[in-house]
Amino acid sequence: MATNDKTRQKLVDTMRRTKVGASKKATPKTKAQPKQEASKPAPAAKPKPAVQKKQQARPAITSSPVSGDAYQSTRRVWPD
Amino acid sequence: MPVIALVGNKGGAGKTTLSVNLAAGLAKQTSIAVVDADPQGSALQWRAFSENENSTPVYEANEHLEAQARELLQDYQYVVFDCPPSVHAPQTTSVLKFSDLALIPVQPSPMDLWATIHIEEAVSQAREFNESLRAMLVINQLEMRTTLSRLVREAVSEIGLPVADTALRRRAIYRSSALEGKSVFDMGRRGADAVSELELLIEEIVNHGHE
Repeated sequence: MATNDKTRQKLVDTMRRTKVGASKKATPKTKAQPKQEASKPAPAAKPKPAVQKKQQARPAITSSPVSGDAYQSTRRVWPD
Repeated sequence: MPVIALVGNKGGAGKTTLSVNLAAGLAKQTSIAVVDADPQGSALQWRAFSENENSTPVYEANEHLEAQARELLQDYQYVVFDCPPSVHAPQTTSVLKFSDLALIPVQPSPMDLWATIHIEEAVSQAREFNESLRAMLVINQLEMRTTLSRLVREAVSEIGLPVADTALRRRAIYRSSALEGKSVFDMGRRGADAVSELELLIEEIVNHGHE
């Protein structure tokens, strides 16, 4: 019986939440528009540093170990 | 109640199976045609597999559904529209605007119940154009051994639409009859239990129109 009660409660609860979600979706779209406009500059600015970071990171990785140690570079030349 | 729309917001709820079998049951008392308004065309396919020339006629939906219904009602007492599995589909919204009854099969599963929540809103919107539209939920594919099946009637009351007293059980005969292009009414003793519950549902539907 306790399991039944829990399932019943969960089922009814999820249905009520879905109903609330459905009515929220139906509310005016105008509220969402100013938010999009306000947030437009921010995403535009963010991608640029992300690209720059990647570009900086790549040379840092490739430049260090290869030319540093002759023994290590020899091992890479002669794989199994 | 000459125009009955089988609507839903989720595939697999049993709209086509109910359309075809409901029509076959009503055909015992009166004349009836099915219009397949679902682009999947399952009702048309069912009819194509039928070897019985006297089985319920199924028509392909045309662009002017209301005009098509009016035309068919000159020859038939009832027209059943099998709608696509979405209340937002243009066919569904169009059919609800001129139907007398919307029948909504719903399975005892959370996904079906969540999807069906949106039906009440669609029915309300359709009533702005069609005041006399009635709606009825039909619990379908009931399995008495499962907890969800036992709880479904209570859960379904959350949707805010009337629920048919008759629930249809999950039965293999619905699938096997479809395979033969038949309804459960054509399956003899194997279909007897399904026929009994469908007859009860038909009685409810017919009486629903006279309440």
